[in-house]
Amino acid sequence: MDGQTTETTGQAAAPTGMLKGGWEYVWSAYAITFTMVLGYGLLTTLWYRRALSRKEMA
Amino acid sequence: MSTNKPGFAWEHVVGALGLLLLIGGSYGGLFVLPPDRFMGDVMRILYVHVPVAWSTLLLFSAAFVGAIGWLWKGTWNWDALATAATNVGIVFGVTLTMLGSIWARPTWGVWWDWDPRLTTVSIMLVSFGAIAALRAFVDDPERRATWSAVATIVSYVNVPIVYFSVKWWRSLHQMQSSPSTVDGDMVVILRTNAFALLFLAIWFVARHYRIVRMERDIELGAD
Repeated sequence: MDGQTTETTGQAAAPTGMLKGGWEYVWSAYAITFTMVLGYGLLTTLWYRRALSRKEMA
Repeated sequence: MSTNKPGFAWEHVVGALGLLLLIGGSYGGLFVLPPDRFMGDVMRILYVHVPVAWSTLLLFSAAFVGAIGWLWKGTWNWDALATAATNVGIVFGVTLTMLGSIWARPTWGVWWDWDPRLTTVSIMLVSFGAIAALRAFVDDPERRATWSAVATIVSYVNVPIVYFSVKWWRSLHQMQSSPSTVDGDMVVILRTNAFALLFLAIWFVARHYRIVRMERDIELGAD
């Protein structure tokens, strides 16, 4: 769905009303948010451990 | 923040709280609140897009404070704050742009438009990305900190422009919402996710701060 609407006002009027569907965009947005938080969190943890071990060796 | 003993760090409590709030806020935004009158279910992207945007601006503001602190005081804590906040801010900023693009497709009909808000956000990301690159290419720690602090201050000039761009040049991107313009239930979810992303940003910055301090200690110890 790309900006589909269900209602129109008048015969030649521009479409108005509520956008229908679009859950694939919503799920994609939340998936990206959680992937960023969890993925970057994991990377940050790995970077921290690497820095810690490097400091202990130094 | 001490980097001597890697015991239990306070930021884990903040980060865990942030994650819980994000789960709760996302559940509310996805399943509890009704669809918007005009944008329908697509409007649910707002509950993550706007909090990520707020956190991004706060992160670059923290980088600005760190840059000022380094130039004023000359202590490594400030440089570590600027470095950590810049790095985390870039990740949040890229996420923000992706979320905005996903929201734009069903509402504007395009993935991207050179609207003033999107253009200024792009400039912000490129400029702070350039600062991260600058840090990677300068070997001398003091010179690196000073140059990147100056570049951060120059880049930060654009951050208020990003915020006010939708007011100054009223174009495709909608104006900022406020508690007076949205329903009370929406405000609750927006605030929940705003605190969630803020707490998670604090966790990220605190962890990166410690990483930068350890790397700096190794670097300075090797001199």
